[in-house]
Amino acid sequence: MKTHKLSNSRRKAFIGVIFLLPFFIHFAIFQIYPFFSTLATSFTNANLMSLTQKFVGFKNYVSVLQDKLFIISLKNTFIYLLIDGVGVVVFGMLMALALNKKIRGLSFFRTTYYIPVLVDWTIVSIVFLFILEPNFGIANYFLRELGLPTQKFLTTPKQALIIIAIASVWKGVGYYAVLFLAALQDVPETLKEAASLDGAGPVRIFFSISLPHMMPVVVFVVLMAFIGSLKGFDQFYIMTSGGPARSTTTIMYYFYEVAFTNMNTSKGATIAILFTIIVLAFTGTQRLLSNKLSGVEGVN
Amino acid sequence: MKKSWLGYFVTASFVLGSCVPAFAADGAALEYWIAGDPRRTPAYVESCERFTEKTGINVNVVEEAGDNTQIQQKLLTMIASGSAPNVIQVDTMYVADMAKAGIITPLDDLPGFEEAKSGLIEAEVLPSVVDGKTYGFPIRGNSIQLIYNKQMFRDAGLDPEAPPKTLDELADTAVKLTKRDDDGNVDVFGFEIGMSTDAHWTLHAFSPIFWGYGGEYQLEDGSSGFGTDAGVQALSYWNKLVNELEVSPSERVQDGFVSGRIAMMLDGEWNFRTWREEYPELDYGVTTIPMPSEEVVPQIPLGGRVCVIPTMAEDKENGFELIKHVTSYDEQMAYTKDEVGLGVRSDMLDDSWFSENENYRIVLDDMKYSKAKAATEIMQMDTIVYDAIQQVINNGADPAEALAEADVQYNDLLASY
Repeated sequence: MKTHKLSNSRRKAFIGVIFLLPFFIHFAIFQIYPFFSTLATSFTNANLMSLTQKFVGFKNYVSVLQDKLFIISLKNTFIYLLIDGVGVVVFGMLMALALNKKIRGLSFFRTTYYIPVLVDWTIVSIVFLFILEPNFGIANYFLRELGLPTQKFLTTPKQALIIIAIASVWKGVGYYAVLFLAALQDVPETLKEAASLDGAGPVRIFFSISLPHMMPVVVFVVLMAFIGSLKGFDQFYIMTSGGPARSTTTIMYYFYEVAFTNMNTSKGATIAILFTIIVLAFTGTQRLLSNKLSGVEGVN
Repeated sequence: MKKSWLGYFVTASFVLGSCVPAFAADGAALEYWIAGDPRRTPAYVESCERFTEKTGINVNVVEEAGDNTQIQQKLLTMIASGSAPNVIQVDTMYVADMAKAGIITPLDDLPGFEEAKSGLIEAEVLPSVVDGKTYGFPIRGNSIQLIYNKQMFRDAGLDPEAPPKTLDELADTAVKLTKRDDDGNVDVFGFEIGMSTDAHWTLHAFSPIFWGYGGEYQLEDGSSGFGTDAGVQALSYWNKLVNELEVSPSERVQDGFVSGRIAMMLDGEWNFRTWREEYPELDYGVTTIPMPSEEVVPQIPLGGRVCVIPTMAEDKENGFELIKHVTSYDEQMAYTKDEVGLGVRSDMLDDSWFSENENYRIVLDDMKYSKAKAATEIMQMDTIVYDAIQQVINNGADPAEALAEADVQYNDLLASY
């Protein structure tokens, strides 16, 4: 029997592959296969109520792109993205700056602000529903006590999307604050002290020294925050089910409704593919812009 | 090297093995899927044990958790993957679509069909009849009623034994029951129309009023019927209660009835057990949903579960034996008494148990008014009309315009079907 002795480096590489294999198997089964299966389904008339399906070409794509609700859901998604995505970045940075100060009880505040991140969306949504109940909720109770007009909150299309976005900012801001805080603490004190000796104030120090130094983390946070916003689903499902009057129907919610409530899997798959293309285009553009701004080749 | 391949094989088997549905119990001859409130499970298991004693056929009862839609998704996914239990409980509204898709089998040619069917309430069986063939037998049924707080009636000087019978009386009574503070803020709503974030439930509450005005989901020519006078009248009535009289909240108040925030509401018998166990002091009455006039025969959307046999299931004859058993008089009365679901046999009304349980008697008697929420693409139709209702109630749209838009969308959907 002929045996082959592997060189040391090849053996190490082989062991590396063995260790990576479980991930690749998982990735292939739960990411690659579903993606191509979804892509294939989008070209059929598959329906959960039907055991057969046939190829229909681009019919589903034409149907989805002409669908008024798809356009509404796109619009809602981007409004939500603007409020939530920008909100968590701006407030995350402000919170990080506040938490970077040497104040008494700092650990308590850091922990407190992070707690909403750990709470599941289901619980957050139910609590918000109780607070914002338009007739008997706590929020309107306080507004009445203060002599202010009561609000309809989640039951009016004028406010529902904005309120959910604000709830998302409240829930997510702690996570991004921690990332910003770590980056802030990485800024060399010597640079800030030198700038201070040269007469720079805190604002100037932040914009001229801290922010450029933090830019890779800022780029990462912006990317993650925006992707997180685009993927939002639980809060819409629990708090409003896409209503009232479609004002909170985002793409993810619309995809769910079409594929699983209406059982139209082929149209649902088409929405998923179109959404993937939009997210890829969006994140690709954002990365290009961010790389130019931060002067780095890529952020991982 | 052999050891390595053995390792790979074991690993692969473990991975693949975890994907195989694990519902087959040892020695089980029949697989029976039940769904809904887990409190029902023990009663269904006991019922199957009685079946085993009688026939010698073992039954493995599998409880499926989740709401209607989730259970339906699981079921259809299982069937699509090529496996199916012998008997399944499915929501009434899905049966027709499943029959048309060939997923479930007709029961007509199975032994003892006519005799078993004869005792069941006809209105509860009808939704399972497609092209003259019966695809399922109801195992439990429900409809919705007007449920009201008797103490609040007394406090408002109203007779709790004379609840409203017409929509005008309902609105008047709701005004009398509504309580406001000095600033005009509502403390108690006289009535809750039943709108929620659930499109299906909202249509469930809207339909009896819509039907009461003479409306139908689809007109005789098959087109959408929501933009008709009946639709506009029904939606205008809802709008009046919420936005003009302000005697109903725009959306359901969580636990509003049991917390004393709601005096009357549209709801069903599935609450009775919970209220008896958790709110024994709650003094409530049940009556048939008011109609536009007393001359109008009520039409109430029926709900409940139906036992069906998947087309690909084996041993259909024994599967049907199980269905006959669970829909027999004795078993239906047992389920009713255990409050796991109201039976669906018309001959049950004579049972003395109902004279001691008046609210259940009213619900069972109301089943003669049951009407299936049957329409093409029912789930999508629900959503389309729900959008129109929300446009009016939450966004100030005109009922006629909103329903005309619903007609356009539903007709588009029907054209693509």
